[in-house]
Amino acid sequence: MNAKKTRGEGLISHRFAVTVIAALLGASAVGWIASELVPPDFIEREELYRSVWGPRAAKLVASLHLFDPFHSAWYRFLLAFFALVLFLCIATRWRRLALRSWRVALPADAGEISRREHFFEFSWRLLLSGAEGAKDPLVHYGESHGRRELTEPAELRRLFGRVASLLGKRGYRIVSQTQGDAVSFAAYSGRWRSPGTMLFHLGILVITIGGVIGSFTGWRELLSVREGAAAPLPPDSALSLRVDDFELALTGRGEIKDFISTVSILNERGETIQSGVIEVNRPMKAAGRRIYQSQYWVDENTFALARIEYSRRDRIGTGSIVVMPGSGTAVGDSAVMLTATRFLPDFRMSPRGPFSASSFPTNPALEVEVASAAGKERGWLFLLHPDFSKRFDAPVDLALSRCDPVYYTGLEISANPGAPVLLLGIALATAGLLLMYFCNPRVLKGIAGSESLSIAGVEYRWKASFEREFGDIREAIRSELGQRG
Amino acid sequence: MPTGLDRDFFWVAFWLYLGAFVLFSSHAAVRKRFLGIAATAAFLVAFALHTAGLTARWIITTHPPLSTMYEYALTMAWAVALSFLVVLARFRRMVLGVIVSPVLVLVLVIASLLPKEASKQLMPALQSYWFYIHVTLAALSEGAFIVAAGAGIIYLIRRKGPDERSFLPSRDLLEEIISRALRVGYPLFTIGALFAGAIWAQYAWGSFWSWDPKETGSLVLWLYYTLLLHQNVRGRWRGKTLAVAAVVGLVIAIISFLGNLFFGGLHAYV
Repeated sequence: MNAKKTRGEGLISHRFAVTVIAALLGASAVGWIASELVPPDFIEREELYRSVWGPRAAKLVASLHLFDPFHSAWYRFLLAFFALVLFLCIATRWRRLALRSWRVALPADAGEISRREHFFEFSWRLLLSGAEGAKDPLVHYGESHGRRELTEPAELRRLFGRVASLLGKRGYRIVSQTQGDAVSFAAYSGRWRSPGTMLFHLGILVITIGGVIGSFTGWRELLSVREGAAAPLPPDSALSLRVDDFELALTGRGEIKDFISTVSILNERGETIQSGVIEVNRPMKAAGRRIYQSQYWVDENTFALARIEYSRRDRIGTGSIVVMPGSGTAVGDSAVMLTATRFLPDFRMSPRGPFSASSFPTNPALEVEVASAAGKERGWLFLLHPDFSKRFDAPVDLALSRCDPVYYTGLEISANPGAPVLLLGIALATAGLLLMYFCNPRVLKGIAGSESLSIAGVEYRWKASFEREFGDIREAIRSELGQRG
Repeated sequence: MPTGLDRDFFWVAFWLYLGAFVLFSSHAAVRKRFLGIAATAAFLVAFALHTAGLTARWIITTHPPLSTMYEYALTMAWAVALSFLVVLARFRRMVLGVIVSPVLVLVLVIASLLPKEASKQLMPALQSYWFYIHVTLAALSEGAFIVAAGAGIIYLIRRKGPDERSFLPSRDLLEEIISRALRVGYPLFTIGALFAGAIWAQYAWGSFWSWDPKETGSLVLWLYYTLLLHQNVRGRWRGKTLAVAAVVGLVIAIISFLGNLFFGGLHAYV
């Protein structure tokens, strides 16, 4: 039986497990560096990189999949191998992993204790007389020559009870057994550490399994839908998703507070079967999928609606007009006609003319054509910087007061059947870690004999701290039992 | 509250940490106890001002100071100072300040080079309680790793064997400090940086893991410390090797921490 267990444990030695961790560490570091050095568009522009880097380097990158190293066969193989080794580690060593600090054996004999580095022995007689409790020369003499100064069994039980109580106050649990005229005992603390080790390893394995399930059966897709439009809901087209509203919530300082999509899920007949609001960090569940608010864009070529404030210069008169894309609008009751010709959400100037630096409404600007008796003229109106807006020859001053862009909401649709498994793994591993690292296992073993009390420290994590604690215990016993009572 | 008050606190704290470093170094060099006490006092005042600065920043921005690299660096430095004070209270070795205080000064110098604008509005992706769990635990764990590396450096400086004249702690004690700091940092890092980050990513982006440069850097760091602790449990990486390993771990942590400045990705918050 023993031989069998040894063979099982030998299947995955600690050294081998460490080698596999080191290999995974090396592979992850290589992948980390490679994913920064190799452009992700390597495959699309392989010819270009081949000419720049040379055929050997390009071949190496292509064959090792270094443009996407974490989805390469070699990295996946290593991950799978790591999971297999972890599984075998747990399967062959679970007893040792889980129960090592749980089961504490009593000392077999006095020799097992006295050989330890941390060891002390008190003579009952000297201890109780208050004489510092050093090893009693008489006991030495008695041990050597067969003369014994016995403590009565009832008295011994009482004395041992006091020692046990003292250790108990320091967080130790005691197991003891009376053997003849002596009590052998073990005191232990932090015994949850081993089950914690087991839970942590199991948790990492479950996380790996959850990850594998997710990578094979899960999927994710980014859906970009214009406000008011509908699109098929991945992965099949039986259902569709309609974006009823998209709102960009801003603070008074123009900082983005949130972006919110109000969506409806429609069946094949176009009937709404579910609707809801999706915000960042607040996904919506629909038809077995999760829908996340991921991004948003602004249509760089058009706008939904603009409001322009005007004041006439030829006579007193102010007001505002609403401008829609492509259609001409009269400015109040004047003969001036205004048409929006171009919209840029993030206006910038370059030598080649105006352009939008991004799809975000950082500096919205509207180009308008103004037709009046003075002729046709074009110019830009700025929402956030009205002082820079064009002053037209037409007898009106114009100021852009509102410009609603056309938004596209970016929704991440995903399903991950491995998610519950992964979360279970995280819970197991977290519980395991807390037990592993916040339990401080220490084991003391001792024998309370008819003449003396011997205690040794047999297990600890930190030598320097344990030495201090062991010294404290020794002094506590000395002062506690030195007071007769 | 004046908007620049937090920076004033950090500025004074910076000079006091620097002063504490000079005093700790003098204490180690001339072995006068009063210098050590003065250094500790300067360090304590600096820590109090550092705490006041973080509190002021919290009040000004209306959210915990964790949302930018500048705020994160300051919080991480605070975690380092706190870890040092815990070690100081437990082991009574003022000389460790010789290593910890310059590290703090360095982190504060790095922080001073980063954009410092106090924004009241957290970007939408950061508006989650997972953000606070993730970033706080990551900062505390990195603080513990820095203390481990600091003790590792002293271990490497300390001569072998008993040396009654040495002001430096014994190698056994230093090894225990390294070991304890790693055993505090590792679970905090695993739970905070990896697990809480993964759960938050699932809520925010719909995926536990995206192989983003920062995520990959964290995985490399985690695998490294996993390897280190396994070797330590095996009885292999002890003593000098453990000290060197703790210092190497800090180097990987720094690369991982600063990675998003060079690499970008989903964690590109400056």
